[in-house]
Amino acid sequence: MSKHNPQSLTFKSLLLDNPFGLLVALLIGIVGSLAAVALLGISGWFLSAAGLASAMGTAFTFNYFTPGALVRLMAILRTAGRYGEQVFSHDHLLGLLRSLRLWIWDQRVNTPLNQVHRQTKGDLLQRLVGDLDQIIKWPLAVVMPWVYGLLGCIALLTLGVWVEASLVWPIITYSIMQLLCLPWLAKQLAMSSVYSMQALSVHRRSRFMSVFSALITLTIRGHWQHYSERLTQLDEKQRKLQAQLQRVTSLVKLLGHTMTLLLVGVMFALCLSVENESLAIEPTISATWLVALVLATLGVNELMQPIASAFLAQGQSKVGLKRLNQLQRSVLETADKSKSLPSIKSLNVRNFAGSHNDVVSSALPSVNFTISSNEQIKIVGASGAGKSTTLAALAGDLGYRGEVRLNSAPVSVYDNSCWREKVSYLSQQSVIFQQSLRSNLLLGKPDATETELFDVLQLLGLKTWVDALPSGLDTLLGGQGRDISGGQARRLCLARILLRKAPTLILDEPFDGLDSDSVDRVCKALERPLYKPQFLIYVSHIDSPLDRHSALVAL
Amino acid sequence: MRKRVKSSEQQFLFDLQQQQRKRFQIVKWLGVLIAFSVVIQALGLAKVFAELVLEGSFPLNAALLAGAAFLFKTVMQYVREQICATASRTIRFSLRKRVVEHLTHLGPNRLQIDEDAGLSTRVYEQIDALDDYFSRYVPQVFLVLFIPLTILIAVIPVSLIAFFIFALTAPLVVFFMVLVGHKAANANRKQFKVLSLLSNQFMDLNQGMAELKRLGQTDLARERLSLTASEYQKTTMGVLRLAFLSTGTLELFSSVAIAMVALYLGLGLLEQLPWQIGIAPVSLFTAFYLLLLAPEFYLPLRQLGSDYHAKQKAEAAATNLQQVFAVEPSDLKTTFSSTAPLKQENSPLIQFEDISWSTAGRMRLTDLSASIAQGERVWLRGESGAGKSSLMSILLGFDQQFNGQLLIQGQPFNASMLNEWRRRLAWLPQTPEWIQGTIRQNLELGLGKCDDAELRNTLIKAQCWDFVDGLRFGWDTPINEAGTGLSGGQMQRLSIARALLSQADVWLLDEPCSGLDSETAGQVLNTLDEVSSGKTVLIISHDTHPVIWADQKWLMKEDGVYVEA
Repeated sequence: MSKHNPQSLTFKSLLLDNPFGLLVALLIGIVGSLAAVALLGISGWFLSAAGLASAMGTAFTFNYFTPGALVRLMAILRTAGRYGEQVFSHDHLLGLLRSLRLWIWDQRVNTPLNQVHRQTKGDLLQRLVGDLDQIIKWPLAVVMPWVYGLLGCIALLTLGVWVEASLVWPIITYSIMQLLCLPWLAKQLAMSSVYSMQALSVHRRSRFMSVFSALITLTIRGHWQHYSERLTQLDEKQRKLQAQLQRVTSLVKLLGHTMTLLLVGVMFALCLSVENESLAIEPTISATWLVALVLATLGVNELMQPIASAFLAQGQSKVGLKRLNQLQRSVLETADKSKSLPSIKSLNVRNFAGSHNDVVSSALPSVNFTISSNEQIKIVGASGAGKSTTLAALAGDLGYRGEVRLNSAPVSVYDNSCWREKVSYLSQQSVIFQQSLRSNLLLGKPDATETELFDVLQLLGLKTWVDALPSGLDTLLGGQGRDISGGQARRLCLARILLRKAPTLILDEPFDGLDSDSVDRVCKALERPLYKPQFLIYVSHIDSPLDRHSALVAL
Repeated sequence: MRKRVKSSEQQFLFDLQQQQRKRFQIVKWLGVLIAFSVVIQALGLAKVFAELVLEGSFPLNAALLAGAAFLFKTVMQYVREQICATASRTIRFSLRKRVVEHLTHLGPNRLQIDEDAGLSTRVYEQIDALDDYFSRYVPQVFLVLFIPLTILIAVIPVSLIAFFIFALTAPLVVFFMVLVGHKAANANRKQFKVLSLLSNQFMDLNQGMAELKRLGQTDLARERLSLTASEYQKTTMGVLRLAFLSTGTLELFSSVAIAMVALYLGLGLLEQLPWQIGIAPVSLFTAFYLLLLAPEFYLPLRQLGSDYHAKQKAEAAATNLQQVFAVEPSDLKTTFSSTAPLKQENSPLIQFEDISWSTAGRMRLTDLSASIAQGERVWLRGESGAGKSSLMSILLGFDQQFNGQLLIQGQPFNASMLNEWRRRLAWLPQTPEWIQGTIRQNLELGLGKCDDAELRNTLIKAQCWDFVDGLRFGWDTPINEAGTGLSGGQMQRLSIARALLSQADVWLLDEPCSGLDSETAGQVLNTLDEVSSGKTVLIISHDTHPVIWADQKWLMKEDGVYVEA
């Protein structure tokens, strides 16, 4: 969704996402639906009029070309309308899918880093797949059928009034019943079930994920049965809800049909009078048009069918919207951070300790140091003392207490994109994306040339490996670096951040998983003028040539 | 139709359908009633219309007949819908139960099929994707033959020409539908895959969100998402245009046929048919009768056309569900003879005799002969892919279809001793099994409530107390997928505490130190050393994290297991 769109998702924003596309689909659909009603009506009139003409002996003067052509036109319009509506509405639907996905992405980007993992993977996936699916169907399943129904009723009203003025009220009543009362009734009967069904399916999935993630532990302890029974119970509840919803849907359909039957009955009743103890049509009314009207009513009855189940889609998309809006995050306040930082001459860190949200931060010792251009610092301390936390906080990934001063001016580094431009941070976990090797590297420098890429790969000792790959740089890597070794993943991440050439380099265990040869290579690469950082802060339990020029800071 | 060779998906769906044979039988008979009421309704209405137009009189009986037929049809449809939905629900919910049970028996082998998140989609979404097939498509298949046939027969005595129009267009409709629908079906299947790729891409980028922010490339990632979504839109629309074309042809044929019938009837009434000018081949009554039946004739076909995607959806889902059943559990079927040898007190706790194991032509374990005595601690290392994890799977009792013999205290391992054996085990995998809940709930998982003192002692022993006590809510702190700001080493320690708490005396550890830096790994191994003395331990660990305190060292290679001193 583009920037001027509202932050919160509403039904209105769904309609306005691509109003033109929706309008085209709607217009074509309207043409198709009305043509379907007209096809029945016109054919009925045509037949009656033709039969009448023949009976009256005026068959030869009867103009059968116009109605005949109209019948064919309506047949073609109906087909073209249905086809066009489906194509355009699905195009609109897929467009909606795209903008909603991007909307979710924007919310994820705006989520502060320490909250990103609040959402479990299963939960996010449910929202991304399940809820999105419900929402994008909304225009198609709720709005469009209702509009078609409304226009069908209006057309019926026009025809009805023309045939017999007194029909106006029955038709209006019928329309109100079909378009407003029945949906309202369905809502009363079933909306709470729709909601609980949605809630239940989310609950059921997280239960499934939770229980299955501990399957082996539960099995060997002989308690699986108990847990899986709970799962079955949830399923049983779901089944009852589904049954109830089905009953309501069918009931509403039944009522709708009955309503149509009543309307036809009333039409006849108003157009007939008792004559010689038998019923006869009022002389003022044209029988041919009455036939057309009754057939058109049957056509409108068909248009009403999808409205019966629209309440289900309405409820589901409402829940879907609500759940997606839970992901919503206001844009990070970038106002004071947006001005770019000056080039760094020195960096001063005082009483600095990173903090995770749930951990009492006083548990972690703080650190003080100052680093000037071309200096290196190695942070040391016992395992669990918070070395990684300190580095992550320094890089802006975590909150912290204490102060960071840049050229002796205090700066807030947490989640600050300007600070990030100055920093390259190698986290403890190697992050490899499920993309080509090249795309993974280009994340460091999007406009890097092939020569640059190979240069850095050569430096880190990866070139022979890449050259040996059948597709070279275009080799697709598995998610989380599943199909490459830990050392390769480590060096790829290093290559990526070296390409950035940021003045400050923060490395958390850069040598993890590397053999001593590779360690030397990495150290040499960091000495190269092209890649040598202005400031280097790192943590490593492996001794390396890097240590010779580094000041030690103890935690 | 019955003779057509069924694909395995169709067979799978057919077998499921057979479970509800009785209900579907009733649905068939209801369909018959509906077809008759359609004809009767048309008769009644046609009579009403004809008399109304020609004589200005209203035949009340005919009107009541039509009305009653309409009402009857509606009620029958209501009942039919209920029965179809019940049948579909029964099929789906019992299938779901079966799938979950199957997955349970697969144990760790379930991951050969998919990750848990993917499995949950199969269990819920994919099974529900069968709904439209059983509640709409299957009942419709019968109606699509029966209703047109009934109408054809009902038309014969009235007008042969109309009969021929109907009879000739119906096969054409089916022919074109199959022609276009077939292509669409294949395309549709690919579509399913693309959609899940799209979700994968999103989840992958989301997983690396922190890294993207560090690199300042969230916009680049957004562009990528946008690009693939647009591409998806383009290719999908290509598929859908084709798919809708199949329903479009149906519509076209039925519309044109209805128009043709109407035109024929109109011209016939006017005595203007080119080949019989001056003669009216139909009366107004028959004309209306035919006109009213014409849409009903094509309606089931049209509906089947729009429900056709339900079939494709179901077949795609069936493929995925069959994959689940394709992985056979081998936990309960035992290949051993039931003669129970005497319990030998002096035999080792675990003894492998010439064990080898291959599945689907792939050797998963070769030539293992070794034994572990009670209280002995064994370090197993070896090349990846040599079958270390398969060995664990065997010991956990999830795989028993290997060659050779596994003896537990001298007795061949069999299904009857499975529960007792499993209760002695503690299992510490690479990534510990955590459920959504508090630390305490996770420690007590499958054990029932433990008292506070016991819990505290265990945490102290496993060296977890310091950091657990430092948490704001202590052991009531919830754990989620990413931990609670606890480090990998701390999480692994918690799983040691869990093993301790269970009082298990046989510990199976599958690379408990992978993902930890060597310093932390060393400390975790030290803790393990302290708490596991006196227990029987089999620990898989890489050379990078040596288990120095092991009593035996096994090296697993492609060609077998070497026992070192």
